[in-house]
Amino acid sequence: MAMQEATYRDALRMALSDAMSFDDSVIVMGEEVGRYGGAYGVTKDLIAEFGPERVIDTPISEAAIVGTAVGAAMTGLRPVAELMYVDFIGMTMDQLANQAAKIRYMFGGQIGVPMVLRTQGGTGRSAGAQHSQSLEAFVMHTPGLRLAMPATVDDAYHLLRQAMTQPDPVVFIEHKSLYTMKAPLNPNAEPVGWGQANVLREGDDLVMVTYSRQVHYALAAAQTLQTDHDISAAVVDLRTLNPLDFETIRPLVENAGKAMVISEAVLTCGVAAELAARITEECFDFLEDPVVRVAGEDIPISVSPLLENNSVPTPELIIETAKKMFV
Amino acid sequence: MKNSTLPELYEEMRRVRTFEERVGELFVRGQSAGSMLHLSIGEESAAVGVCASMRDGDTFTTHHRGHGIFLARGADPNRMMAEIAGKQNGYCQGKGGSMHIADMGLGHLGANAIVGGGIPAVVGAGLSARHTQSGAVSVAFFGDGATGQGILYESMNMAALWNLPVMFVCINNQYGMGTRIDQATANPNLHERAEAFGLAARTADGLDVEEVVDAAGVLLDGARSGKPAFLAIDCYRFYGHARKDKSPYRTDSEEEEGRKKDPLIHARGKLMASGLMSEADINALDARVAVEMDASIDFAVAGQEPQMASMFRDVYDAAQPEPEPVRTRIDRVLAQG
Amino acid sequence: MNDAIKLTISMPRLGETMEEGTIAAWLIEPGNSFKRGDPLVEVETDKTLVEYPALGDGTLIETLVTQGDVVEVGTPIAVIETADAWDGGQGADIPDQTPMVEEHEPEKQIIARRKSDSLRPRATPLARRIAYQSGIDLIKITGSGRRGRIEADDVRAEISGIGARTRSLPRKTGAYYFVHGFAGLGSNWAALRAHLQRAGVTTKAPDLPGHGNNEAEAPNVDALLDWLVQDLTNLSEPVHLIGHSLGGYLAAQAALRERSRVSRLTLITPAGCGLNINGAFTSGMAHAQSAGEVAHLMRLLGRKAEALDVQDMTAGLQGARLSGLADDIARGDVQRIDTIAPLRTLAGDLPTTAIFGLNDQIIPRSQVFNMPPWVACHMVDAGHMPHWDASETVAAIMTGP
Repeated sequence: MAMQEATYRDALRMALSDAMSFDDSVIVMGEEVGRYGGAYGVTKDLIAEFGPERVIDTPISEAAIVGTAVGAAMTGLRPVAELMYVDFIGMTMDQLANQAAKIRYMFGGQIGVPMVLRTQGGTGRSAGAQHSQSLEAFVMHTPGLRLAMPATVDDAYHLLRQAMTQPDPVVFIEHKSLYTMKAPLNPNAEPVGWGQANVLREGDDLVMVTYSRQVHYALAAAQTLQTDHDISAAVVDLRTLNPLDFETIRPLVENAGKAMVISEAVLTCGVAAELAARITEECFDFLEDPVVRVAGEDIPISVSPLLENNSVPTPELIIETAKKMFV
Repeated sequence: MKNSTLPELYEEMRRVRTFEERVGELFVRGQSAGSMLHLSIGEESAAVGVCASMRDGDTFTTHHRGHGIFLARGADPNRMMAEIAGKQNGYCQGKGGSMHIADMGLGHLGANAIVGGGIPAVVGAGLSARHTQSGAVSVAFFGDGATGQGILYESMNMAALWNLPVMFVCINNQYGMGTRIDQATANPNLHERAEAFGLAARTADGLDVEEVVDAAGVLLDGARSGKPAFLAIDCYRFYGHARKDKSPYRTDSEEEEGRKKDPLIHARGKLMASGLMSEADINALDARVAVEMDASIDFAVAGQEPQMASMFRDVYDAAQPEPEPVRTRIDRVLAQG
Repeated sequence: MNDAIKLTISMPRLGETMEEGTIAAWLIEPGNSFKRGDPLVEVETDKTLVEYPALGDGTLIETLVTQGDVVEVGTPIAVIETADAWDGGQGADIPDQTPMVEEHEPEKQIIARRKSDSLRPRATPLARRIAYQSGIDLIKITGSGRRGRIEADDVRAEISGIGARTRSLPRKTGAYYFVHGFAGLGSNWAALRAHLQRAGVTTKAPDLPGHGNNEAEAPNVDALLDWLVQDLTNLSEPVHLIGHSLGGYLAAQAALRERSRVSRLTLITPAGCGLNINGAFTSGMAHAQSAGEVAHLMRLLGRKAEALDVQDMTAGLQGARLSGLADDIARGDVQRIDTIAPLRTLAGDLPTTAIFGLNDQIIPRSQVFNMPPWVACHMVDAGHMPHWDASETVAAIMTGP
């Protein structure tokens, strides 16, 4: 297959389809993944391609969906379960945090749980407080769970393919506002490795460390900072939060001396807090400014687009913050 | 089916009981890892009766009171006791203990310390069995306490909806920790709940291990052919919830009455009445089992503590980097500059 | 079977946190025998009751503690007779499990603690590291960063010696603070401020005492300086200080007095840099009685001065508010203030720029030659008011390297 224009949604669907063609043990299960084609259309027509035995519509039973995937993964299948919204992760937390995450360790390494839990989060659709959250910290706070958050069309495909080959449970959080994003995709290209961050823009004055949709906001902000304010900002797309690739971040921060962490999740105890702490610890001697967290407000998300959009970092907020770091 | 004659069933039940008694002793000796030890004395017929009807290749999960089930499925009491003592030569290298014991070779997908936590895994194992046409059944063992958890009903619904080779076994020992079943549920006829989901369901009397074997056999056959099942087994938890609980929430007379429902004494009576075994035969068997189980204590006590370095192992797959110890990290961070 | 022996049994540790237990009841009478597994004694601990079962067959000889006694773990509680290996042949004493925590206090280690020191300078981690490696005392360094924070470049400048500080990055400079000249107003800076504000920096341009809307009077130059220094100390962060004419003198003196408040200094046609000044202008402005007089004097300032609305200025001049000040600045054509001295004292520690007007009719342009060598000097096509006549050029010089 050569280079083709694809949306983030297309790329995810292609990854599932390619993996299912390649490996008979891959099954897809979740609410509305079959006949409906997925709440956001990611699994559209997969059921026609692979049949209801491998594309399984489930009842609205999030805990049992994850629990079933755990059991299936322990007995030879490679389940890809879909949690319609990451906001429902609370329903599954026992199966995810107490079972999937701990089985390998509790049982002395006898067996792993090679499953993927696909879900999506974030703002941008006026979906309200219970359908717009960024709950990646819940996952990152649980040893044993891997966490991937694709920002690009390329990663929607390659990162999902990589997730489906991991020996450990992976929570794969897509962003609901990126599904229609289009970019050229080459499924045969050599992808960035699993667990490796991607430096999408080099810069000498400031390092922006981010993931998921905020990658695009950071890139836009970095462009403006360069042209209007002569500030050269690097942008790092983490791609996976566990494993966390600090070795890509380190030399950039040591060079620039200033770092900003950008996350859509609420500020307090968020992923941004962990990243800021690590940068401060690891690069302390090279810092010329506090590591700044540009994160979501510590409030629920409103349905009003005005309130919603201002609850999370915007390119304007990133630019404004960066400028303040140089006054 | 193996171990299904009454002498075999009795021996298996005696092994479970003696093992559990030795677990209690291990604690008193100060040699168990912690006090989270949940004994199944009085419930032996459930473990032994269902396991006798299971086949090689079948998988199962258990609750936190699952020593007997694992033993009845063929576990080595030495490695079990070592695991309960937190030793390196235990089933899980001392990381799981009494409540998180497992063995993939015997199809044990894990004991669980979350009430109901291990139930949905058998639905997944059922999906796998059907996908690979292995012919295996997956059995979830849990207590009556788990009937208060939503995950049981989510799982039963899915199993029934998809006609999976799955069986749910509720060992009703009348108590969820200190709360008796009639204080926790309005309708204690638990199999009726399963019937409502479309499962083949019945209740067996745990006093008679042969009744459990028969009931489990029929239901397991059905499950194997795509008719998922539910079996409730009535019994009585002879002792407290855990090793440190002397059941102050129930009366002596209730305990006395409850302990009359002893599947071992019942089987013993049947063995002697039928002439299958004499009292002397049975006593000799009991003594043999005691030697076997005493040896498990010696094995556990003699076992090595886990290596400190193993602490960071098996969080992730062995080919992946291990998490960095906090001390290493602190030293690295403070050694800068 | 071994022969029966007498053993003392001790209070067992029934749980990780148990240190002592209460004997709730003896369940066997002395003299009675028991079987392995029979409960011997009931112990209350952590609000729960625990039975201690016999670990072998035997006879209870004697109890050493009675119901209600609180007994520490390891204390003998009874004597029994048994033929069985009570505890794996180890004797009756329940092995005392080594607790996870250190039992005795670890040797005290005195770790010297850094005294909290309010004089500890504010510096970035990188600046500290470089200073530490180079053996430089941060106390000696004045920071150019936010809130006077010492940055890496400040330390590097200290290492490489005088002059290096002029490399200070313009975009790191804080807000701009403008000091107008004698008989001027804060509003004199409007054109220049407009240029700079487009670049997104904040600016401040107050009326000095004795001028415009400032209600404080200015009997002499020191009163102006005191007021300026006070105003600078009220600011939250260091500023780029720009002074024009008399304001140039004030800015240099203020920078000397409040070094940490000033990140950069720009002097525009500064007073005090040479002997001569146009005395007719200073005394004329101080004593002007009419708009006409002011208008004539204003023409001395340069080509843009005519466009200025003199009404405001004459209103401000009423009552000869400035006569004392004028005398302080100059007697006749001779300047009485000295700007070169503070610049010498600062000795290149502060990036300093001076701008002179090619056609200045108030201060002779030749005074540019009196500036110390570390001051970057610019001669622009303007009169005494380069920020009027050539505001774009001045803005470019101020924001340039």
